Amino acid sequence: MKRILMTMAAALSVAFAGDALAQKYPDRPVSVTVAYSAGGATDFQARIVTMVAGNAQYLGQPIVIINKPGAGGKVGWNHFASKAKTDGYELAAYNVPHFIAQSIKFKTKYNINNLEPIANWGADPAVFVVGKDSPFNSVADVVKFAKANPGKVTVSGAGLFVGHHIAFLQIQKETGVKLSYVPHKGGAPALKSVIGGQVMAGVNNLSDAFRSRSNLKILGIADNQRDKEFLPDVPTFKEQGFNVDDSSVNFRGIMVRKGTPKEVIDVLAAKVPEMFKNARVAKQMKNGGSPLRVLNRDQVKKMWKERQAFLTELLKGL
Amino acid sequence: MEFVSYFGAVFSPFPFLILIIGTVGGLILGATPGLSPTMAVALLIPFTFQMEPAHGLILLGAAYTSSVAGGAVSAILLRIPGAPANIATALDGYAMAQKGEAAKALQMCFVSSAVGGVVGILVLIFLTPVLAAWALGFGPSHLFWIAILGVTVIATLDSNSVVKGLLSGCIGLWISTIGLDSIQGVERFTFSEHLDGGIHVIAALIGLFAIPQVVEMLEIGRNKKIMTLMNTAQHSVVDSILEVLGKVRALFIGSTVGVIIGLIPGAGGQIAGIISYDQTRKFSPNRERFGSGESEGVVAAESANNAMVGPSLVPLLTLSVPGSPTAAVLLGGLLIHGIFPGPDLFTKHADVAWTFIDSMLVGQILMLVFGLYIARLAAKIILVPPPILASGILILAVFGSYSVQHSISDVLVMLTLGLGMYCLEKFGYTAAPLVLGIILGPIAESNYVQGRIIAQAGDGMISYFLTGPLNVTLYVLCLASIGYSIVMEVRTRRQQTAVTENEVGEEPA
Amino acid sequence: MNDHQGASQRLQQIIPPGIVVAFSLWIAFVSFNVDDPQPYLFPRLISIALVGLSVLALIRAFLGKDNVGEGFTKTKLKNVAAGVAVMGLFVFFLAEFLGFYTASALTFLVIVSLYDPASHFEIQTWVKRIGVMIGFTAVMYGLFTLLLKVQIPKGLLL
Repeated sequence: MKRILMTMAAALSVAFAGDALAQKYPDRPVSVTVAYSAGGATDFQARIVTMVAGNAQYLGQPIVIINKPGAGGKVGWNHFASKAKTDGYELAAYNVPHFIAQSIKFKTKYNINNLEPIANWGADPAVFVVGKDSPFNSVADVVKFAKANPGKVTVSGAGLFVGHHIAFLQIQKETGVKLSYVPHKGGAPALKSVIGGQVMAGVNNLSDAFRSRSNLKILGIADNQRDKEFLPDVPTFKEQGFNVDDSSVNFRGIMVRKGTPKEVIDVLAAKVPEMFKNARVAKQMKNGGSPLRVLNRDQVKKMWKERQAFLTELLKGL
Repeated sequence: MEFVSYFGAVFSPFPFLILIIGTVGGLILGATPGLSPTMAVALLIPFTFQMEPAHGLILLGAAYTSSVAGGAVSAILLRIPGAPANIATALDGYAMAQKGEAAKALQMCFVSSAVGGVVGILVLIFLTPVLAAWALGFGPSHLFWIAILGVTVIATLDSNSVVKGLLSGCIGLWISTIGLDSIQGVERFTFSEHLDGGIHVIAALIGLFAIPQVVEMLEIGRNKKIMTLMNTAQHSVVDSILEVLGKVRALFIGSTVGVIIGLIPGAGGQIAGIISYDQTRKFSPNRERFGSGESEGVVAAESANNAMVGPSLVPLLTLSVPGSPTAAVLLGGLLIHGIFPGPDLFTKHADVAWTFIDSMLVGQILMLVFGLYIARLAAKIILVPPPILASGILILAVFGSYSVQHSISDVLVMLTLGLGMYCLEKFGYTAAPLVLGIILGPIAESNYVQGRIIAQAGDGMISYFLTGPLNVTLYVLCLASIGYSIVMEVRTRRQQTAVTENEVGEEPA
Repeated sequence: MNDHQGASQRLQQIIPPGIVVAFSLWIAFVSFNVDDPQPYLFPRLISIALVGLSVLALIRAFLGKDNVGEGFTKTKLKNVAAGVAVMGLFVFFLAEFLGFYTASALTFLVIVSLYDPASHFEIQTWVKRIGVMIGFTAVMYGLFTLLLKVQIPKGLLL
C-alpha cells in the first residue's frame, strides 16, 4: 500500500517537476537538523539566522530547528546523510572542518560528495587561551615551556577532529613541541576547564573566549587576519611567527542531501544567502558575539574542496 | 540590597503577566513526562525573540523554576518523574499517594519547593562573587567521584537489596556507553541502527518509569471488582505549610545539598534530590519509614531540587560558564538579546540582571500559589479508571520520547527498556538506580577519560584521582553509603528472621 | 507458600542474575578485546564491577537470599499479554505506518475496550469510549503540534 502510494507520488513529482515545483516550493515548514545540542553555539546561531525564513521575500515558510546531538555531530549527520528526504523540506546545518575531518578519519555515512551546500552564514576562528593567572603571556612562552617539558602542557578543546583539534594539531606540527590534548564535550566545558585551572591552556571559539575575556588571556588567533570587530589587539599565529592558517576556522551553514531536485537547490541557493544578510539577523548575530560571514553556494563548494584536500594531508598518519 | 529596587519592574502589569504565563506553562510542561526543564526553556526561547530582554528573561526564569517543581506532580501521582531531578520525590511521594495522601504530598512538595527555591535564589543574590571561584575548582577527578556517588547513593537507597541496587546502577552505567562514544565516535555495543545515537536519557527515563506502571495497571485484567481506586483525602493547605515548616531538618539538609550541588558546574543538578533524601534519611529518627510514605522524604527531595536552581546560575552569570544544560540554554536566551553574562553583567545590564533574579524570587511564590491550586486538580488524576490512565500514559510516553529529538528510534528504545524493566521489577530490581546510571554514566566517563589524560601529563592516575581532600571526601562518602546500607540490610534481616536478636546490630557512624 | 511454589519462585529468582552474569562476561570480553582501547576504558571499569556484582547476586539467589519481589504469576501474565501485544504493535509498526495520531487513537480505543469492564454490547459504552478517545487525541494534538510545534510523523493518515 505504502509502496503504491510512493510510486504514485514519484510519478506525480516527475510529471510536475521543473518550474511548477520551483514555484510551489516551499509550501510547508522546512526543518533544519542541527547535529549539536540545544544551547550550543551552532544551535544558537542556527536559530538566529533562520528566524526570518517565514518572510515572503525569503522562503515564505518558517524553519524548524531539530537537534540530533551526539559524538561530535556524527550522530546527526549520519542520520541526515542516510535518512533525510531529498524533497527540499529537510535541510541540515554543517560545521566545517568538523564533518569533513570526521569523514576522512572515520567510516561515516557522509562526506562532501553526498551532501550539497546551500550557503554559509558564519565563521568562528579558533583562539589559543590560557587562564588569567597563567605565567604564559604569548604563544612563544608556551612553546618554550613545552620544549623543556614535553607532553606536560594540557590543552582543552571541544572533542576530536573538530576545529579546535585541527588548530591544536596545526600548532603542534608547526611548533614541533608535544602538547597533551584533552577533549571535552563542547566548547563551553572546555573553556570552563581553562578558567578553572584544570588544564593549562585551551583552544576555543573566538566568540566564547571573547565573552569570557576578563577571566582569560587570549594569546593568538588561528586565522589569516586579526579580528577587527571583537579582538583587534590579539595577534594571529602568523604574526607571532607560527605558520598556522585559517584551516581550523569553524564555518557554519546550511546543506541538503545529494539527490535533492536542482530546482529546489536553485531556490534555496538564491534565497538563503539573502536571508542570512537580513538586517535583523545581522544585528542579533552581532549582539550574540557571533561573526557573520555569508558565502554563496559556489563559494562554499570551493571552500569544502579546499578543506578536504588540506585535511587529508594533515590527518595522514594520525 | 540593590535587588530590592527592581521589584517594581517585576510587578508592573506586562512583566507580571509574563511571569504568570511562564510559571503556569512551566508547571504543565514540567509535569509532562518527556519535557525536562531544559526542553521547556529551549522551547520557549523563540517566543522571547520579540520581547524586551528583561521580559524574555522573566519568561525563561519562571519556566525554569516552575518546571523543576512541576516534574514532581507526575512523580507523586503516577511514580513517573517528569524529569530526572524528581526521581527521589517519587520514592515517598508515590507511597503517600497510594495511602490516599496525594493531595497532602503535592501540597508539601510545592511548599518545600518554594522554601528551597527562595533559599537558592537568596544564595544567588548575596553569595555569587564568593562562590563562583569555589565552584570552578571542581575538576575531572571530583566530577567523576560525584557521578559515582550519585549512583551508589541511589543504588543503596531505593532497593531492598544493596547487591541488586548496585547491579542495577552498573547496568545503567553500561547502557549509557551504548552508541557512538562521545570522544572518538567509535560504535560501542550497537546491535541495531536504532542504537547508533545512543540511548537518550529522557527516552530511558520515560520508558523505565512509565511503561512498568502502565503494564502493572493492566495486571488486574478486565475485572469489575477492583475498579475502585484509592480515594484521595482532602487536606488543608495551612496544615501542609505548617507541617513543612516544622520539618526544619529536612529543609536545612535539602537546601544546603541543593545549593552545593547546584553550584558545581557539570555535576548535573539531577542528583541533588537524591543526595539530600539520603542524608535526611540517615539523620532522621523515622528512617525506617522512608520509602513507605514518609513526608519528610518528599520535603528533603523537593527542597533540594529547587534550591539548586538559583546557584546553578552562579557560574553562568558571573563567568559566562554554563554549569548545566539548562544554564546553557538560558545563555542562548541571554545572548540573543545582546546580553553577555560575565563580571560586568551587574554593572552594564543591572536592570536586566536584577529584574531577572527578582522575577525568579517572585516566581517561587507564584509557583507555590498555582502549584497548590494544581495540586487539588491533579490529585483527581488517580480517580481516572486504570485502562484509560494506562493507555493515556502509554501514548503520552510515545509522543514525549519522540519529541525529544524527533526520533522514532527513541520511541522503540523507550518501549523496549520499559518492558525489560517491568520484568526486572518483578524480582526486586528498581528503575531509579538504572536511570541514574544512564544519566551519570556520560559525566563519569568523560571526566574519567579527561582525568586520565591530565593525570598522565602530570603526576599519574593514583595521585590525581585518589589524593587531595575533595577526592578523599567524595570516595569515602561512596564507601560509607555502601557500608551503611549493608549494616542496615543485615539488621533488618535479623529482625525479620529472629525476633530475639532485635538489638544486636551496632549503630552505624 | 507450599514447596512447589517455593521451588519455582527460587528458579525465577535465579534467571535474572544468571542472564546478567552471561551478559557481563560478554561485555568484559568485548571491552578487553579491542584494537584501540581508548573508547573502551570506561566500559572496562564497568564490566569489572558488573561481573563481580552479578556473580554475587547469582550466588545469593542460589542461597535463597535476596528473594524480594513477587515474581510472575500465570494470571497476571495472562492479563497483561493482550495489552503488551497491542503496545508492541503500536510502537513497532502502526505508529510509523498509519501516522502517530491515527495509530495512538486506535491503540487508545483498543486498550480501553480490552480492559474496561463495562459491557461491550451497549451503545452508551462505545459513545463514552470513542468520546474519551477523541478528547484525548485532541489534547495531544493541542500540546504537541500546536503548542510545542513538534513535527509528529505522518503515515498513510494523520
